[in-house]
Amino acid sequence: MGFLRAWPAWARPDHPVFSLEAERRGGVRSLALLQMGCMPLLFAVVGFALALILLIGLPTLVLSGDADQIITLLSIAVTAMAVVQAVGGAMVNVLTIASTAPLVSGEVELQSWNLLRATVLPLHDILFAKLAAAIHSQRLPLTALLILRVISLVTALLLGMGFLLRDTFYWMSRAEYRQFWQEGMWAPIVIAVVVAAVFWVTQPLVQMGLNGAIGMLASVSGRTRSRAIASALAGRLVLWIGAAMVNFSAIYGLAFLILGNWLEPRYASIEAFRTLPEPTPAQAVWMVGLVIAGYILVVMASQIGLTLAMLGIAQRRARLLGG
Amino acid sequence: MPDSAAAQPFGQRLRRVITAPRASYRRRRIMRRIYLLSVALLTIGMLVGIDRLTFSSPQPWIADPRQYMLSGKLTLSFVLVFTMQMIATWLISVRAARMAASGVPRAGGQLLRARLRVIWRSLRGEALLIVLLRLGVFGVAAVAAIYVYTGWFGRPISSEPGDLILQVIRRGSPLLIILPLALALIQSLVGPFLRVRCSTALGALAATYTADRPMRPWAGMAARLGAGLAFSLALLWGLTVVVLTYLTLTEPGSSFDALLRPLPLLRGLTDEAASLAAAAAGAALVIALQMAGQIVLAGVFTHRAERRPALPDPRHTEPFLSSVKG
Repeated sequence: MGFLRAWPAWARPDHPVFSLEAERRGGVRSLALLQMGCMPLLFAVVGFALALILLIGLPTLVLSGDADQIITLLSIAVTAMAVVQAVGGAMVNVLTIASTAPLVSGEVELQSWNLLRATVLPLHDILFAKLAAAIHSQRLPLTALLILRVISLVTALLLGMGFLLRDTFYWMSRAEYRQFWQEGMWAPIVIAVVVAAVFWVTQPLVQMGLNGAIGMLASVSGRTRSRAIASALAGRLVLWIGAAMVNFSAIYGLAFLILGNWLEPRYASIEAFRTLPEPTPAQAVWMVGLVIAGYILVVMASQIGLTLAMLGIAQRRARLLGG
Repeated sequence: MPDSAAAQPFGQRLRRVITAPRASYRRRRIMRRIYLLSVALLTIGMLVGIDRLTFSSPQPWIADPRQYMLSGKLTLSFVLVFTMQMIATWLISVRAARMAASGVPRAGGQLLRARLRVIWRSLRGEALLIVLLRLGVFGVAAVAAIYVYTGWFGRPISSEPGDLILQVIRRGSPLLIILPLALALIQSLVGPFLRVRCSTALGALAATYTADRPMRPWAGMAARLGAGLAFSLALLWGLTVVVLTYLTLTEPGSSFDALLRPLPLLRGLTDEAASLAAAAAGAALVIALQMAGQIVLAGVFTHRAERRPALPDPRHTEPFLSSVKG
């Protein structure tokens, strides 16, 4: 267990608050069942979906004689995995919120918060040890989600490779092909794919942190467990709707500016773009690749920033509790 | 009492110790028999239902009502029995892994094989049921072949896959059909038992990585389901890499025919028959790989589980070894 030494004291199992919280969680049988059953359930659903896709898809692929249909098969597989992940991810989000929201509100409700504050442990340690124990109890669902993310990433990369080979390189002239490699037009694509892959794989971790922070903030704000859970779930819903709206607007706006105006200035609906020269293919690929990578990085940074901000506010509010 | 217990053979004592603490063992045995009987009866009932109720009144615009009725009933029966055996196979794998994970791992690991044998024996009934269901799949296929290729039950019915198979046998090589069929038959007969062996070994191995006793069955199930998922992924990813590599090398053709055409065995065949032969060869390869994997991996998992002492349960200790050895 040498790797644990690198972790802060509050995140180690021998921390008194961590062990107390972990012990409490072990006693809740229904929660433990949900957590333990998550991995087999997710594997069963994805395995069943894949087996069905292969069972129906492979004979069709072979008997049709059209090798390009492998791309259709991959698309269906990626879609199925994405749907399972969305449902599984939502389930784990709710589980995380349900386990973090009662962390402090439960102590306040049972009037043991002041007792805990009377110990020599600093507030920061108490809060973070509780949060770490709650997140530690979610390690199995988190591992399952991370495995599924990696699996779907590899499948999606194969699908992307198929599209690139069959729909892009296939139609390129020799000159265009040479230009693609010699002028470094592959570089922005690689940058965008790497950033997107990192974003995709780390999302369960980032989301768990974000949900934990929402739960913790609700926990220090509510005086009872039920109120804290309800406000945390409502907060998550509001955040989800807000994020969807902001992302939709931003993506639509960027696509309108770049694809609809900058790429084709002659037909631009914004007059300012009409005077600009038409970008070369290399400029277009660089711009689109870097905008995608930049956008993903901004989203990730805002998720992490929001998590840290909520944890900071939770710490401030916790100081006022029971005083 | 200790004297009479000590007089019993070791295997019997082991079985007694494994099963005795479970008060619900008898109930489970009855439930298992009910399950076996209900699956068998359900399959037979559904087959009778398909025969009596489906494809019985062809629409007036159908040119050959007999052909329509027979091919419809046979296809539906084939799909039904195939699905039933798939579900039963899936269930037995998960059950075997779960049983092995929850009952097998103990410190030391010397009794692992004996414990695994007890689980194999208790799952013999389910495995036999799967063999019967798989033979049922072959039975439906055999009836279809009789209707397509012989005139024993009246005028032969026409079938496109049937014609393609005949073409592969006559113009290509009978081996292209016989070999996959033989492998599929062998897999049907021994596959369920191999699967039980492999699943129990995997379940036992997964459980040795889990200290918490209540978590062991879940770990076993997750490992078994993960292994199934890995097999499907290997098939999908492997095929994609092969197809994309082939397509990249043989630009601009996107049909399999260009690849299949140079093979001597497939030279005289039409494109569809060549594709069918290639699919049969691919299926044979997958079946062979799966069987080899089940045999090899079962040994590897058992060996590994034997050498990995189970992690001590932090909340529970059981004097198991002392109770068995008397």
